[in-house]
Amino acid sequence: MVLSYRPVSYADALSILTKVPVTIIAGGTDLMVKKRSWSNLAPTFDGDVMFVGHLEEISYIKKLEKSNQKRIHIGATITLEELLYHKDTPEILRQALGVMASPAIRHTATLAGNIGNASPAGDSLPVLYILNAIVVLASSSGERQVPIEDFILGPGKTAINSDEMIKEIIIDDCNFGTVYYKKVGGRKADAISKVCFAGCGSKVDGQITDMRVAFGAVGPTVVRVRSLEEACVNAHRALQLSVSEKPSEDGLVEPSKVNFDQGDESSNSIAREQLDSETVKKFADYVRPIDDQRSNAIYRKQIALNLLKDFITKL
Amino acid sequence: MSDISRSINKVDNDEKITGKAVYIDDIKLENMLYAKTVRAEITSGTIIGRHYPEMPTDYHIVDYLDIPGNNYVKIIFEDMPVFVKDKVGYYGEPIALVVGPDKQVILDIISQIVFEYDAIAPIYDYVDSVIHYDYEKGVGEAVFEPANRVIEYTYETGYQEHVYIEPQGVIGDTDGDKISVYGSIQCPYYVKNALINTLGMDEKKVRVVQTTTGGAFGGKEEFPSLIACQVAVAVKKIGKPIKLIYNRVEDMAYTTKRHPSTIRMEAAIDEQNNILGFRAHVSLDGGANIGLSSVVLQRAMIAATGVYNINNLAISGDVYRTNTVPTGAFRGFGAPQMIFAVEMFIHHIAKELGIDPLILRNKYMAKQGDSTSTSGHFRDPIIMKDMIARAKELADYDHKIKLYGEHMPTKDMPGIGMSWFLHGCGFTGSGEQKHIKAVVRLHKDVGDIVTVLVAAVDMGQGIKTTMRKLVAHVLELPIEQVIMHNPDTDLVPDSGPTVASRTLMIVGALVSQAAEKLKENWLAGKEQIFEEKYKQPKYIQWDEESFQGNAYPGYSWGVNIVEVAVSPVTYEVTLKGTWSVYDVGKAIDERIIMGQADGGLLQGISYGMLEVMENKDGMVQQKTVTDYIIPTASDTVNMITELMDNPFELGPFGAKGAGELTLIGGAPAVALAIENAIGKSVTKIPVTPEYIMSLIEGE
Amino acid sequence: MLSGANSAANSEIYNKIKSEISSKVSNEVSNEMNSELSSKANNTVKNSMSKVTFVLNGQAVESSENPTKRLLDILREDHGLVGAKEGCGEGECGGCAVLLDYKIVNSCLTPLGSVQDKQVITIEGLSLSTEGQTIKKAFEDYGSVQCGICTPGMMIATASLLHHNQKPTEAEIREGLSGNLCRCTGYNMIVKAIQYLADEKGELWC
Repeated sequence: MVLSYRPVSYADALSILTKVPVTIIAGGTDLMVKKRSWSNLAPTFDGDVMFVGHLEEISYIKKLEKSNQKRIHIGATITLEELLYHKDTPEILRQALGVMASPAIRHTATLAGNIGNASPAGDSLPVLYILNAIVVLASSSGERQVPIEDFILGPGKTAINSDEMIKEIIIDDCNFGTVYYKKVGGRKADAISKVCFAGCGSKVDGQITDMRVAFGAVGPTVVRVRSLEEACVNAHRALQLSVSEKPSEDGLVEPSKVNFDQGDESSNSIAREQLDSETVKKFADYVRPIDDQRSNAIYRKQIALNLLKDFITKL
Repeated sequence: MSDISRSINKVDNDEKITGKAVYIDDIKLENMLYAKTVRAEITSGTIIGRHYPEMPTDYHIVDYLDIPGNNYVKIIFEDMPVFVKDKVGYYGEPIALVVGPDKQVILDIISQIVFEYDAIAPIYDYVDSVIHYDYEKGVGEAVFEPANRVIEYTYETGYQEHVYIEPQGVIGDTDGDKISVYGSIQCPYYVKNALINTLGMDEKKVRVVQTTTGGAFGGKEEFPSLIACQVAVAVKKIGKPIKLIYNRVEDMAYTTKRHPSTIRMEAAIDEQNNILGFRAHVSLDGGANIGLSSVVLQRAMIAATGVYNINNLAISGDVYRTNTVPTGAFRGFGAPQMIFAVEMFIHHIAKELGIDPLILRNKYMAKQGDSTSTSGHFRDPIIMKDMIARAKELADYDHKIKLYGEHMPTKDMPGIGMSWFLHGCGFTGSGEQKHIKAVVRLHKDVGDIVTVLVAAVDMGQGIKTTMRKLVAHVLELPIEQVIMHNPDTDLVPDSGPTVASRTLMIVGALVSQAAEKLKENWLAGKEQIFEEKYKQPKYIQWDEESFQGNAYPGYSWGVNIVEVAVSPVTYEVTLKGTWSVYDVGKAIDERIIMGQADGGLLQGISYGMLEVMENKDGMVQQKTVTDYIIPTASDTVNMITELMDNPFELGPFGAKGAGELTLIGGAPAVALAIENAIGKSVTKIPVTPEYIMSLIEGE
Repeated sequence: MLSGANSAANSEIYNKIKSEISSKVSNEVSNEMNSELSSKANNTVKNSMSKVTFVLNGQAVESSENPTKRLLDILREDHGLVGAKEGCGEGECGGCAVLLDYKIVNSCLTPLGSVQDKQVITIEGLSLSTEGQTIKKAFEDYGSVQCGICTPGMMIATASLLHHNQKPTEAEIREGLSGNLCRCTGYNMIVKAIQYLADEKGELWC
């Protein structure tokens, strides 16, 4: 018979983890489907379980600043619905939460659960990737921090140890000039992603200083290619400099004052378009979706790239 | 006397809203056992070996050997076994039930059952025709010879799964002598007749009772006969009550669905761009068992000209057997497939001829007195002209269709589409007279309470309210004095199945007649019973062999206008508005009809753009409600609907059939709207973003 | 016996069945081991749940059932509260919806252990309250009910929505219903009932 544990505190939870292998249940909205059996039979958990959804100590979202780094800390048991309506939740995460599942599921589901489930179609994951999320794992011997891209190893697989639980997720706290989130599901609500895209970026004086993009549901894990992001930012800067090297009317050049957005429309925009198209093409190599019962690879790939293009154009 | 259309509080609102209504899975009988279905794991072949484990006491395997009577389900085409004996026709076909008191033990037993199969190559293509029909009108095929031009298009429609929110379920019971089956059922007498045939018992020893039904849409027309027979055989063997409830995955994967179709349309055009005639071939995928597919094909073929009057026709059709889950009844019953094809076709013809589609459609729109596709006549007034004008006015159609057709570069691609459609009410041809032979009764007790005794089932369409309203109105009694229970075949006569939009128009008419007789002969304080039997009106002359004559006693008509926006980035379609006008003769309760209109239109639109069910290697790929997409409240818009009265002389208070009409126009309307938005011809449904992308990118 | 041409496919199926049987056997063995370990661990681990106590429709109740069992089954089987329905078992249709601390949840996804110390309200409880009666009247007047199977869930969704947002926009109403599937009504008459409740009866939910 499967035993169920209900820790009285967060410390108690960690203590239980050292003693028995357990499946951790926060909201349970993924697990209760995965393990379901015939009606009125208990789900087929093949070991003990530990309920953590009630642990108030790790239910929070708070902004912290450490060594000039502004970060947001999201506790493991705060529900998606609580996050959705919290003032400290970043806009792009709010957009993702708003299209996840349904109100009923959001009332008990957690971000930690979404991460632990490690579904290729997890709606919050692309956002967490571009916010440089760090997963904080805790055991009774201490804590360790794992960047999300190292924590999620594949569909349904994470780097969690059997004596650990997720304590919190730490994300960047930035004011992005542009945030863009789009989930394409089979319908407008309560749907599994066919393709999911998250993008954010900032500009200073018309120059792109930060650009981050991530794709969901187009590979076994979220696709984020930092090298291409950097290359894109650099290429934009180079293009801008080359534009700004055109002498002004009095023959003087003032590169630092050139504002890309207010430049000479026609040649700038053609050059910009070309650059954007090339960027999209480069990303195409990394977007490798599959055919399944929800959609096909051709559509998923094209839409992923369309969304990227749309985002870059808006940036 | 007040207008009958005026809405009242539905008589079953209270129990449904408070959670007191009893559905089949809510029932628990003493000593009740549970059953689970053991299914074939090949798509086609034979069972050549069975290995059943040692059974613990109180647990049983029930299979074909336990069938006392005939091992087929009595439907129209009798090719569906109750339990597979040797031949397997589709993946998941039921081979046996495991029955017992503890569910975990049942699962353990099932995991130990082993079958050996001799698999043979399955057929998925349309090659094995089991039913073939054809008919002609005017000069038939010959009209194509002098034709200046032939325009040809082929249209495809996919599966549609009912997704009634209450899955299939039955409970069988016995008192040692008589077998009773309770269940979520549309047609108690269909089930009773199937039980008599399979149990080999006298009709007095078999009883069927409908429990409150959580949605059906045709999916509980013939399918429940299968599980009722299975459970009844088990009850006969074991002698205890047995409950069989399908879980959603089983229901999605293994119960009947709407027939996928391929419809080839050809039009003969003369030099003046007149349509001389149509030639059409309808292919329906019947799945592994034909069941009632012949009637679906008939209805589809009869609908070959939609609302139009085309003088010369050569229409043929086939039902193909394939090694896939059997297809069956679904609201519309062949008409949604055909009307989609016809509405798209008339637009595509117009496009090729360079004519405004509206001009072409108006030119061929049927008028009262015109001949139907089967050379019968539209006897009754047709008010489509007014309905179309009103719908267009509500939607601002003329302005929008022109504006959107110009394809201005916008953030989203707007489009608008309009479908015109009809539905023949009641059973095709002489079905009522030859097969159903409906009987109704009214019983008045000494307390002067009148009970309506019919086999008709309320599955959400509100007949418990409307039937009682009819009687209350005729007798000029308060509705509280008229009663109608869920049908129990021990208590009600066979007034026929709850299908074909016949319940108010045919059964209701008989009930009204009985009520008139009761009124004339009312004896206060005395028990009285009045019975009425169906008599076919003389003008319904129908030749089943040649498909000639009046196929239906009357027609309901409809106009749907749907506006959409298509995202140029993701190709997702957003509904922006719908405007509809319907002629159902006379509404027996206006709010009930409006509810049916909203629900039917959404099912039709969803059939046209959202619901994807694919079969791969004989297995349904979308078998959860997560993967098979039906709309949520966020996927739809407020729908504007108006009714126009056009009383039908044979319908009670002028009512005609309404149950199926409102589903029929949704798919072509939304497909035409998307076509208008993207500027490409749509020839198949559902019009998914994936399909839209392939049309735009030209793959 | 197995015919030559198909023996490969057939032996695949046969082997699959055989391995399922053998894995069940080995599961049984490992379960035995696990429970041995657990019971050993039990001596040093406290807090394994033996009872779950919660408030159900205003009454304190206790359950000794397996805490991983679905709340839906506890309600239907142990308390005879069959208003919550199993429409899909995967948290999509909302037919099983109940209020947990006055928020809508899918009871088919809620393990019993999660409701410890919480308030569960089912349709049976809701329909006795003033709020429930008010929603009921609106549903009746607006024709929001057809076959009725989704109706208890829709009532729960309405109560949950209005409790958290007394002045929802149409989009917010639709969003609030987005986890409750209905196949009969097309949703609009339910939406209109809720619009009426928000416009005319909002004070009930403040």
